Amino acid sequence: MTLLLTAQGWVVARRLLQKNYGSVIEILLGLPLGALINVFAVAVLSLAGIELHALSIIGVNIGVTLILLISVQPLHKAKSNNLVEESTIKVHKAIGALSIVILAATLLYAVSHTILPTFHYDSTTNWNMRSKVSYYNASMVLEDESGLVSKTNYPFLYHAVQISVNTFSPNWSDKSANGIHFLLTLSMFGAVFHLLSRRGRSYALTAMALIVGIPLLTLHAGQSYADITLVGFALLSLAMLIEFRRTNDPRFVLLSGLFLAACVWTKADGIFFCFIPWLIVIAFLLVRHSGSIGYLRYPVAYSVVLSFSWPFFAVAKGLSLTPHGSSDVEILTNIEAVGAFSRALFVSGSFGIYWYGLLSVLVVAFIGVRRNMIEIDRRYILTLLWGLIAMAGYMGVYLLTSNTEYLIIGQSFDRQMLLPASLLTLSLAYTLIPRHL
Amino acid sequence: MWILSLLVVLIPQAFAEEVAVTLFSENTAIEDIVSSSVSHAHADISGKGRAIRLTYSTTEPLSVFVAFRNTKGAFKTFETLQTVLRAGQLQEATIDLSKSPGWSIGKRSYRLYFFSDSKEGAQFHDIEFEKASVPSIIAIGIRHFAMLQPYSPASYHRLPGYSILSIPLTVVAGMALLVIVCLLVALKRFELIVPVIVTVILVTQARFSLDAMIYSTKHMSEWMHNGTYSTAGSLPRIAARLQKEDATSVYLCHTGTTYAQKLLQYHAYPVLLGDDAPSHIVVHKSTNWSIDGETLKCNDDEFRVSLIETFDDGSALYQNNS
Repeated sequence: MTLLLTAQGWVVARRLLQKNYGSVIEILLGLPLGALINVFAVAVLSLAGIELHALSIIGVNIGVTLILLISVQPLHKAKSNNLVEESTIKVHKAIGALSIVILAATLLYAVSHTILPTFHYDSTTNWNMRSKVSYYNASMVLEDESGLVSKTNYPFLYHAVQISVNTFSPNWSDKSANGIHFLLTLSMFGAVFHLLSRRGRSYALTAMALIVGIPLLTLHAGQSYADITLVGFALLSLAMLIEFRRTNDPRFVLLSGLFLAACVWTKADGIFFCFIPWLIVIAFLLVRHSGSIGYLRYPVAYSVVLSFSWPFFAVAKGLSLTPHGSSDVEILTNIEAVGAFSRALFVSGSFGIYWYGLLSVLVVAFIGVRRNMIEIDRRYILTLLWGLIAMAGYMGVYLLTSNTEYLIIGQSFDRQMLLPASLLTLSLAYTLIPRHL
Repeated sequence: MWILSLLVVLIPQAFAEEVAVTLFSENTAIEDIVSSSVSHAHADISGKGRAIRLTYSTTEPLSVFVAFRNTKGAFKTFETLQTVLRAGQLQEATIDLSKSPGWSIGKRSYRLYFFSDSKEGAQFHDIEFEKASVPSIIAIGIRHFAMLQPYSPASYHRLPGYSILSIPLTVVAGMALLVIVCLLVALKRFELIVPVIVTVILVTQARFSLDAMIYSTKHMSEWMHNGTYSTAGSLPRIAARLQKEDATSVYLCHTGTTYAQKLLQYHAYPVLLGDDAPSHIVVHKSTNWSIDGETLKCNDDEFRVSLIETFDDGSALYQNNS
């Protein structure tokens, strides 16, 4: 089933990019695109009330793949522009070696904990549990009748791949469920690395080590929770947007939109901290775009429609779009939250000293642009907006709504701040042009 | 005569031994100690020093937990120390407090919990703090830096970070980084800012990567050799056995958070956990249970049972014959 999911995603990537940018990226995008197609298939089956079995899932997956192939047709004749030169950045051997150690440790942790049984609390109440109960019920759990599953209003891309990969097995396999999650993460980060390696392999290794080496993200690389899935899809979407800035090829806007839709179907955060910032970035890009923007109308509109499919589904099924219902938008101030916020980012071990460094680089970058202190690539500076909006958004949610309790007791804030931290790092990796590292 | 007098004065000192101290970890079996003890007590003390020297009398060995209290009286589980004091009259024992990452140079408040197998408990004659020398403080700092970050079911939400002498390393390293950046700006060495920040972040991340590698090998080896996995203990193995046994419903006898219940429910599903007419009973880290022949008691419930299997973490699986 993993091969099937990868193959259908690869067919779409191959049809869209036509080897213009090499075949490696098309292979790496196979599973992430396959996961998106699969969630649409499971959503269609859920809406139609058809049971989730191997045949029904495969059949609808093929149908959705065909629709996607047809819908990318208008961009089939887009001109490739892969000859744009990128400055290669030299990396000191010691930094390269440190990066390899961090990546190897993360990989070891991810592989070993994929083989081990599911361990973390929310996996047993929400993430893997919802997938397992849905698998045995042969239908996506959208209501909490049994009391076994919490957060049944969440989008379900993560669950859909775990269900699909188990459909050929007579019993639920915990290893397969965590295995597909690991492969999906690996292919998403692999694709981002591949795209970034245009600036040098060692440089790309360093940027990836900085992201996956965030202590909390290293832990999330092993086993479940969809936070790392959301981070992976958001990074891919951002990387595609950056590729568009580099090549001016509208197919990358479409790919960015596809991965944006994947974010929206992965976690409730997707609509607020991926879709809205993406839309703002795109709006700025279009306003500042020199020449006609007509050729971008189709990929942008297509992306918006695809991302709206989750809210439509949620409304159709009577599901809340926010994780905790109406309380998520209730304004509430709690002075205790300010201290908890500082402790989470600047004292605890979830990020280590990451935010000290990241905020310093951001300040230096903004001052540097004005005073010509450091060299930057102005094509990509706008993409920083996504990470900044997401960061401000999370700050607002956790400081000004009833979600402050999840910040104070340390339940979800740290995990969610992984998204802006990763996005800002990737944007900076493209924007800054250090002479060497 | 004076030699004899001196010996009498020095005897307790000569016999004072530094007891083996362990830091609480995901594998600490608190429930076993609590459930097997006949009497228990606690005492709050505060003072400044590397270790505490206790003079005591007890008829049975005494389990001791030393919790490091903050100003509000709360304490962190993974900073708590555990030791056993041997039985005897007028015994002396030294507990090395610096084995905990919560230990600091200054005055600190501690809560000591005592558990004994004897109804008489224990008598304490004297408690003293041993001062820390400068070289020992440096050695303790290095030891704290080398300590693993605790790993628990809550680790996915927040990591506590490293502490050296109770000072969070994140703050120290972060502030040092900011000072370096300010210096580079003042010296107008702008081209060095990004490489320096990247290097410092990578170095600190490599420290956690080391822990990730240690946990990978530790967890894999534990699972392959004992069938246990950190705080989850043998629960995934028990769930597999329940499915093999064609269990219809399971009663979980357990004390503590809902973690064990949620974990067993996930791994055992579609077998459901419940109290009504269970086909099987799992005893896992419970402080309130007993078995007498074929009669198993857990809290207020009683079952006629037969043992199916015991597991490496002390859990047991029974068939319900009631």
